[in-house]
Amino acid sequence: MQQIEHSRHTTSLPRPSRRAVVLGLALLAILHSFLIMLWVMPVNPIRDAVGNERLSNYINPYFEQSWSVFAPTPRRGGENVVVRAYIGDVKKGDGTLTDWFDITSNEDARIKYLVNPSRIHSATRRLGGNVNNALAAFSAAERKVVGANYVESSRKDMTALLLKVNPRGSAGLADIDAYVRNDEMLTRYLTMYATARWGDGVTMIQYRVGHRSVPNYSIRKDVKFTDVPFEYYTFGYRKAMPGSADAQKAFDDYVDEAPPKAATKGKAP
Amino acid sequence: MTTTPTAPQQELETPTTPSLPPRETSVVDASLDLINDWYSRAERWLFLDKHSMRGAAFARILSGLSVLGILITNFRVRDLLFGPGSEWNKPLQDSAQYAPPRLIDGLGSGAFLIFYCAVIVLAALWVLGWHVRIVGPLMLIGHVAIIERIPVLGDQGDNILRVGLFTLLFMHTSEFWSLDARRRRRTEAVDVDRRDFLPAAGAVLRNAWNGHFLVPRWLSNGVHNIAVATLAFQLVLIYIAAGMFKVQGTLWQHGTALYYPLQLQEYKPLPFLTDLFTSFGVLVGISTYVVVFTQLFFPLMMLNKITRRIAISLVLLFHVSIAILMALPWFSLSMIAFDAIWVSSSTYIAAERWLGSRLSPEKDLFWDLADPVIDRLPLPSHGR
Repeated sequence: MQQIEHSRHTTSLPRPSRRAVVLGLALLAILHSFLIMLWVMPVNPIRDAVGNERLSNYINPYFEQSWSVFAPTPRRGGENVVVRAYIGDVKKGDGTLTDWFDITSNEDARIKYLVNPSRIHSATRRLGGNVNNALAAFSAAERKVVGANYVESSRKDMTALLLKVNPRGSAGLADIDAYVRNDEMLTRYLTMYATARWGDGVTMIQYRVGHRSVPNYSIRKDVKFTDVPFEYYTFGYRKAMPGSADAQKAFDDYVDEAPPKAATKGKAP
Repeated sequence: MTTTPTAPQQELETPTTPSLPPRETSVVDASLDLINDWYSRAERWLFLDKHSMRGAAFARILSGLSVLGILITNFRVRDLLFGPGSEWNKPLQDSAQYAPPRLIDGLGSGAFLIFYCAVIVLAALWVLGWHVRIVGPLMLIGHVAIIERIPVLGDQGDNILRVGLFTLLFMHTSEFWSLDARRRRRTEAVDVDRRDFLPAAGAVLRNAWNGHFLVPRWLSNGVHNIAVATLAFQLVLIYIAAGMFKVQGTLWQHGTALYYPLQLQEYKPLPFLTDLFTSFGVLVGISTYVVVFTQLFFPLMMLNKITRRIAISLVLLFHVSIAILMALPWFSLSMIAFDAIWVSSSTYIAAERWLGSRLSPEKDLFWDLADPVIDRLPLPSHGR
């Protein structure tokens, strides 16, 4: 970079000991940049030589970054989360089961023509996408486990069952961990969302995650992405996880209340 | 200087070669001279003056606008996203590695509102360049505290903003276009008499507050220039890594990759504009290839003045398109902010002159209105 003019910062070369101090700092910066380079590049032997864990310890969390965004394969799938809730005592079974409500479509309507949307609008999309990714890696036995109800039993029981049927050893653990975390986040989110929409007394919620893919480029003028139907997977009932009063208030301010009569009498499963 | 032992032998074996003049430098000598030359150039670059101070100032302004943009965009749903309502994200909050979010753990709505507004004010002050050495770190900590409360909704824009801002903290970002520069012009550095501790400490503090030299120039120049080079290289890494991942993908190779994400609801705020773009297959193809090759060849294009301008214009166009077509304005603004470090000072000077000549009446009006207000503020910098 050329120097345009001398600034008031101009000085002469300092004595060697002072130069050594700055050169030491420069070496640290070079080492830092080298480690960032190893982290962001595709996996390679130099990175293996340094060791993934050592590298990760340096990078995470403050220098974390990943530039394989939309690559090698760009994102081409959309996810939807649809929820319903049971309001009332589960054991007595005299409560109300609400209709299914498509939260993500509601978000889509909110972000239309909005160039600077809030990131809250991608909450269900992101959580649904994470759940869907885990589900795609799951075996039939694992899918059966997450399709079951966990109302009387806890999420820990579900985790134990998943670990028991995990057919892929350590590779499968990451997916189980991802599913359990996202299931919990989704359950918390949906409980508060359902309470804001349908009122107090939500004791269980159930969600379905839909997935659809962008039609191939060659048929882009004949088939629109929004016309592609979702393929849904329905997960079992989950015990409601209500939040604090402040948290619920935040949801109440955000969520539209259901129109009257949206709820129908239903039997607890 | 010594010559390599093979040199005379070669001369004997190849009598047809005209005899070399005595004391001709060998390859080794020439290489050593070259290394020496490069080394001394690098040293002079590192110490003699601060580089890219306008780029750093512009990066400060744009990165601050990006923080402001993110916080203001999410203001209405701040409780749901980052405040007490964010407890739906508890599993990730419990396992988060970041320290700053713990600052606001457990804050109620009211206290969180105060914290949130304080970070907005800090970001505005960072844009204006008001005591950047204090405001910068506080804003960064505050911003990370808020944003990393909800890692599940984060994106790469958060990462580049955090890393870039951290690097900017080591630079001298207030030499231009800042209130700090203005205060510095209006005050004079006080002599520090080292014999008396208290007056000396007072003088140092006063000089620090008014933005006069505190750290010896060799050190501050060195640190600033190292940070400039680190940020410039970080940008290169982003583009080259992104390019390398893209060339692996068949959809990128076939020039149709851009079409796919543009169809997703969250990246399609203006459907008519996107549909218009994707209806022209050639445009999709050219844009896809331009993205891949600009990223991949970004470092090479930085080596020459003309190609550098082409590359920077292309990434600018690319990020403005992402901002509008894909509804990712703050990611784009953060990228543009740090790309600014690669723009040469001569370009900034030309732009400043052009803008200055056009906007001088507005500028005069602004200071006519602002000066009386600023002069009334009870700040120590205004009594000389």
